Amino acid sequence: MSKLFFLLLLSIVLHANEYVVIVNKDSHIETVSQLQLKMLFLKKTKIINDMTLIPINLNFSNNARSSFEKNILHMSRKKLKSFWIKQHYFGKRPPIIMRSSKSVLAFIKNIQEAIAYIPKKDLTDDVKVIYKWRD
Amino acid sequence: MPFFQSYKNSLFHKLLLGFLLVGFFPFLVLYLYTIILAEDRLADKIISEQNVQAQIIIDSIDSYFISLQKEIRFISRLDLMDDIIADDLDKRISHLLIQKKRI
Repeated sequence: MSKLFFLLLLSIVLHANEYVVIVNKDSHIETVSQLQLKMLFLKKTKIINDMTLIPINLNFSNNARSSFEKNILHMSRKKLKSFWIKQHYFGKRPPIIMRSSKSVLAFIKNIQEAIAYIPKKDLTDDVKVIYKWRD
Repeated sequence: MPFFQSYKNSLFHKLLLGFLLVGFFPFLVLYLYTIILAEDRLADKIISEQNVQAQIIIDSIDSYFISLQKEIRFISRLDLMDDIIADDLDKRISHLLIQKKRI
């Protein structure tokens, strides 16, 4: 019984989605903390390790975005919505949205300061991974 | 002299003279005026009317270009235009421009 339970748990873990935070390969950033990511994507800071960064979000319907909001930002969609409405009156707008991982990768390759997250399965060799998380 | 006397006295001749005085001579005067003087004025008037119409068309073209310029400026400031950096892989800009074209 315990073996069955262990196998079930293992299968869940193996099938859990993995996501990565990526930057341009020439970027000086090597690693980043969850708190730094949260501050960056909520536009409470623009600078990490003396480097100005441009956060990129995926589309609302994307699973990676939902996972990012849940595991990194720790904010529900509703809470985020009211957060950005308040920020609007301070002149702050939410991060740029890209519809697909492909366009995110193209953006990252062209803009050295860009930082984004994508599912690990969409990762290519021409970007640098600085953070990983799993559902 | 007798000829002129008979001429003066004839009713027909008097009527004829009256008709010429009332009808023909004014007509002749007006005709000469139209030919000599009014032709230039008519031409000037037509030219000025054409100028006014041309100016109206110029103004409408200008206002069309100004509205186009405003629209381009607005579209260029959209966040969507950041997709240019990613070569518009998701075709969002293309779709927007196609919709604008339809309008």
